Amino acid sequence: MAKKIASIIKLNINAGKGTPAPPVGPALGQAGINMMEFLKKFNEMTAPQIGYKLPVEITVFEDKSYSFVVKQPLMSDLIKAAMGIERGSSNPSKQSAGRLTKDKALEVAKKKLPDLNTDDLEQAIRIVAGTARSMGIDTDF
Amino acid sequence: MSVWIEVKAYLDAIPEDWSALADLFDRFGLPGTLQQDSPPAMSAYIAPGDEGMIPDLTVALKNFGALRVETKEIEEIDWAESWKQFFKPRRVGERIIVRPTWEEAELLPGDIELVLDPGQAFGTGDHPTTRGCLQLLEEVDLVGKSVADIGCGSGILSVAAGKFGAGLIHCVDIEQPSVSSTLENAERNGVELIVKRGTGFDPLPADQKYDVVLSNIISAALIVLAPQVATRLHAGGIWIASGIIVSNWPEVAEVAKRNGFTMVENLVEGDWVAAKFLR
Repeated sequence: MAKKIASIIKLNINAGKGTPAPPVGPALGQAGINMMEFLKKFNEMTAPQIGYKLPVEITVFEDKSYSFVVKQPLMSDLIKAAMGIERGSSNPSKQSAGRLTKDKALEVAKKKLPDLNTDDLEQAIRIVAGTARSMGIDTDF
Repeated sequence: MSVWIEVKAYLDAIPEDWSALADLFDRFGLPGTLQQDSPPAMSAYIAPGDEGMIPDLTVALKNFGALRVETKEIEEIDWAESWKQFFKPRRVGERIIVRPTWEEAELLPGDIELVLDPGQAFGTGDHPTTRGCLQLLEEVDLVGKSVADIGCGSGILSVAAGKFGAGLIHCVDIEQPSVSSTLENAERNGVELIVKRGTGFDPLPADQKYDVVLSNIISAALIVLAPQVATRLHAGGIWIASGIIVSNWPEVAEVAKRNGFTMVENLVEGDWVAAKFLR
């Protein structure tokens, strides 16, 4: 019989560098799961992706056991990597942090597609454009 | 008591992609976030002393489209303590009993007791990687031997080495909480350790060679460390390496071999491998 799920925790944390500091500590401590074991495994699995922030979804069962899935890097990190910039605009409504081309948006969309609620690449590109604009990045498509 | 501030931004609907909001927090030096779907919200946590950013962060979140922004104090004890209820005295290998400071344990003749408070550092003896190391360590004749523990965490391996009679013991960790935790655990167990903060062997005397090197870290770090271990061990010295996920084991074993090591024994528990190599 499938185990009963107690909660699902969704975190975004630096690859390979998870620590007990927040948000991990409070979230996992309250759920009663072995935080150090999770961190060790997460850091081991994600060390090759250091430099990216990764969404991780932890399913906690009623017996305090858990499983977790690490997703593709945050779309914002993929956009910055594709454009070769370190950060988005500090004032997105007034100041541009650069321009994202459709080719670069396609590159990001392809990487992130497994995590999106669509399998339509054009729709995925529109989501990438929306995220880029929220970061103060212009789009020309 | 350290107090962190949780800053939680509520949205009117679940976004198609959360990352622009996570990126906003990141621009304020808050790379880790927690998101919830109902009601849709994302939280980040401000470390003690950085509270000055809250007004600017709040404005930025509202400009982003947050419906409202809430702040809440989080005492560090809330999570530092919460996992301790799961840390009970336990036997590792044949003779080692790992006991948290707040518990009692019954010892059998010949048992070696390690009394630990790991604080925020890794190494309670509960994780397969630590258990594997301790099991491999208790088979080694450590009396009077020199030991380096790279990535010492709570200091559990070095404390065990000291209790098994090792002489000079050098410990290194990249994180200050681990350095502090190792020093405290050394004192608690009456073991003399020299503890340095840094990476690999960098903070240790350049001409010091060791009989035994312990490293319970991660595969990527072990691979980088292997050539240094090879030069820092005496001929015939022992390297106990752990923290290796099964899928990474072939690569670690290959790198060890390439650096002149012979594998003596490996232990597999669940997804984890611990190995003993001879130089």
